Amino acid sequence: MTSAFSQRIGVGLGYHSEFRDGILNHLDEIDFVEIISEKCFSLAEQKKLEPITNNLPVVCHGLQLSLGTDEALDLTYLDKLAVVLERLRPVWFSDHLCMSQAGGIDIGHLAPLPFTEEVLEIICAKIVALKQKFAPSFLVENITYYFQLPGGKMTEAEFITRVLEGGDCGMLLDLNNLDVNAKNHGYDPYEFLNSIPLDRVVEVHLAGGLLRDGLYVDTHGHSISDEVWQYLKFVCRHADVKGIVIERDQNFPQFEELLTDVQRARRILLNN
Amino acid sequence: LSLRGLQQALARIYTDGETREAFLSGAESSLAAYDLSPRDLQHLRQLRENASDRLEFFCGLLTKKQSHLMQELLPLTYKTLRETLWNDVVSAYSSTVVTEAVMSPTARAVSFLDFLESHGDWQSSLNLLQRNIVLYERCKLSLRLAGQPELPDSSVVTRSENELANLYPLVHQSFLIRHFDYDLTGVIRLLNDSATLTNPPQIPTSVFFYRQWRTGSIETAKIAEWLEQLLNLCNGQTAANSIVERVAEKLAAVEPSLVGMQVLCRLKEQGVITFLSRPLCLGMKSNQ
Repeated sequence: MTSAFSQRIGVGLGYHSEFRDGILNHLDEIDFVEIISEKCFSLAEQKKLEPITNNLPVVCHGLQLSLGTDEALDLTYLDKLAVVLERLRPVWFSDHLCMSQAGGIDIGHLAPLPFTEEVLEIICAKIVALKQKFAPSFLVENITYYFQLPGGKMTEAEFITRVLEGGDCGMLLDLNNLDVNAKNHGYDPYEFLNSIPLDRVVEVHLAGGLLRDGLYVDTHGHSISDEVWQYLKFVCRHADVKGIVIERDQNFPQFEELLTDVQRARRILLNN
Repeated sequence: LSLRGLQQALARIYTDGETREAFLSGAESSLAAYDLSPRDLQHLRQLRENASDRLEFFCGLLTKKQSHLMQELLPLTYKTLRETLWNDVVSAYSSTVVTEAVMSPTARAVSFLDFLESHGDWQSSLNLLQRNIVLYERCKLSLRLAGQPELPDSSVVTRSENELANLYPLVHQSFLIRHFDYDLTGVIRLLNDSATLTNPPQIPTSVFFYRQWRTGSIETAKIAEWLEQLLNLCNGQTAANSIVERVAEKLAAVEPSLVGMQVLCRLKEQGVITFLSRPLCLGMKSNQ
């Protein structure tokens, strides 16, 4: 893998406007913030973030590249992304292994991909193009999926491994997504972790979910489960993780609860 | 092209309730528009046979996610509609309006309000106060969508009202003045403080929605009739002293000219208007 990820930045928070005051009041307790790229497309939003981005390292996380769609990358979107990356100067940027739009339709969520050679080629070509256009420091994240699209001959772990190698990029490993998928599809999460190239894991996402109508869902609105904390210990023992992000997108708790998670993750990062 | 056709068909199935219903019931005519190979059709049939429950589950999550995003952008509409009505409208919107990929979240929220206002069933279920709140949030989002032009080259910094007389006040092009049946300042405070809102009194009110020149943020202010007139005159073509003269008679002040100039000065400080050193020419390429 490229040496684009030499810097360990510690443990940070996924940014939400609800956390703004909490972050500004605890700058010395948070190592960095992860900012959703699309939420910073407006100059006004970028300016609002300045008190934070001037004081903490930033990583950018996107939702709409739609890496797995068999269509060219959206140039208008890339122009906006370029402005955000230029302005925020993130340590790295990332997006998901998914389809979020096709044929001019915005799906509004991260939809699964068939694990086929054809999709693999499309994704790798886009990753290479993105790295050439912006920076080599690009990560892809595993998503939750509730059904598998027919036609694929690879497992999810094989598919991810091939993407990381073919695109020569880093991985943003979402451990709650892993937990949800393992439970919903009945596989061993540790087998998954042993099957992917952990040396490519640069960032880890921690979040909580819940059981709804018989399926586990990554709500990002609940406490991080014990299983997920155990996965983190395993990953930190086997990978040189550079950054961990606590994600909470709804059902916001007291800020102190998030800080407790940050401290717990930091202990695991430093002691394993 | 086969994969592309398959993905386009899937995107339609995920987001269009009618197409999804037809697909899950076995009808495939709605898929004819896509370039699908026999193998693709076989994969779609396998998906229907093996994972229809999970597919519907996923689509339910899309609606929930949509609802969550809309709540963030339309917090007052959400609160005033209350959970049940909100969920019904979002569900109807999600299953009937297929959003274009190029749509920003703000544009999508505006499209949601369009849907709410243009469909008779929903429209008639809204009371006057709810319609006022919907209009209020629509105005704010519309301004946000309008973007932020740069300051005209001829804008100048001023320090006192004495310097203003022969300059040309210009309110940001992104502004709206709308009339409401309620004093929304109080209503919004109540909505933000608690979920319950008892019948507030009707108080006709004019609200000025504007984009601050300095920060680009969208702000609102309740305004009197004379201020509405004054703001409408801040078009970059009318000198400050002329504006003040024209609104002077409506100002109940001993020295209306002085008060008018102080108001302009204050509007400048608040980032509502800027001053141009020369009049803005109609039709010239500017940031207008």
